[in-house]
Amino acid sequence: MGTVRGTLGAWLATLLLAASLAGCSSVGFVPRAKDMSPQSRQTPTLSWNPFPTPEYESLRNRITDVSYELRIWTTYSPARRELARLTLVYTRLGLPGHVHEVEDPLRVEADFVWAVRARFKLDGEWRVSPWSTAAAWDRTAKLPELGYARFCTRLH
Amino acid sequence: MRTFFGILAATAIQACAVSSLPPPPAEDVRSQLRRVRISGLPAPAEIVLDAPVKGWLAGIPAGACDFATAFWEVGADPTADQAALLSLLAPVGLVVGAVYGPFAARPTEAVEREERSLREVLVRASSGFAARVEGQGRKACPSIIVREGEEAILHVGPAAVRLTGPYWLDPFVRPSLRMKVRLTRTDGQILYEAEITHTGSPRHFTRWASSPEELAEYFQLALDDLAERIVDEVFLTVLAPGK
Repeated sequence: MGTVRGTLGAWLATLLLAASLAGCSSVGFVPRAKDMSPQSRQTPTLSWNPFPTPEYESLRNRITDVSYELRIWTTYSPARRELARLTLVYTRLGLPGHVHEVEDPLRVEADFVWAVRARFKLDGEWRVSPWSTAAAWDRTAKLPELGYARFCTRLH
Repeated sequence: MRTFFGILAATAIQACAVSSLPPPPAEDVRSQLRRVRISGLPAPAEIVLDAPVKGWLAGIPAGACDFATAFWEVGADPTADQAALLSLLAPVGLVVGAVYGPFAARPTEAVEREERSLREVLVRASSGFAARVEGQGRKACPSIIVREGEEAILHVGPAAVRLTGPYWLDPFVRPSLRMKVRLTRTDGQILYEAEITHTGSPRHFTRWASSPEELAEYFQLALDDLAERIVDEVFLTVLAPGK
């Protein structure tokens, strides 16, 4: 009974996860984890599309002083079937570029989610973009769970 | 196994939920916000706590419900074929659960003791929120937040504190905190109004009950997140045009 229930559960959960991610894929902001070789997993290089992204194009002439804010949280690990509390473990303010190599090594054998947002002046006043998800700027995503860009530091 | 798929299910359902968060105030409204005072709203209107069933008799329907709905716990909109299969399996779960339930249900006194302890945490969960919003506001936009001589007032306060889950023998319950936000001019005109929710990770009721301090800790983190999010929404966030 448990096996049947588990199999059905996994199947339906996968469908729902895929559907929820597919719903976001048409928006043009795609942060992604690069350079994830085993040697660099604890200090991955994260990159994202430079701001203003195309959807902010009409505001380009009013936007100045762009920098980025980056946050990384530990999160639960479906693969390891453990429930870790969401904990903010890394934050950087005022990043000038759209690539960042994590400076403090992250815990090994753990799962993380990460997000960035742009900080900028609009008509001379400080403003921010929504936080990024894996596929979009999305201020309605629940903090910070499914939909956020994810990576892990496991070797296998 | 059940815990694992419960987490997946709850997360997937949450991700599919449509947020009703309104757009942040327009820039022409923000340009009028030069002096804003933060004010607390009264204590929560709603505190909801879903406890496990109490006593062996209540274990019969809860066990039946628990097992019969187990296949559906991953959520919404199965296809017709899936629904047919699930419908065939549900009665089996119903019978097995009804037999198993009375043995698994916990004594009334024990559940009520845990319920009292967790309810105390829920009652205290939102205290001091306005001060946190003010602190966050002073950090993020220091020139705007004032304690007197305001041109507008940002009212913030709890709308609901919840620890809720399904009707199971030991429900998988998820904490959440919903805050009301209302920005008004001093003449009472409403400039912005919203409710913003922070939702935590689910755990079995008995696990929260064994460590209520972890639930209190979750609410502290949620208050900080919500304070930041409210200040961002009202004063800082710019959506892409047309969004």
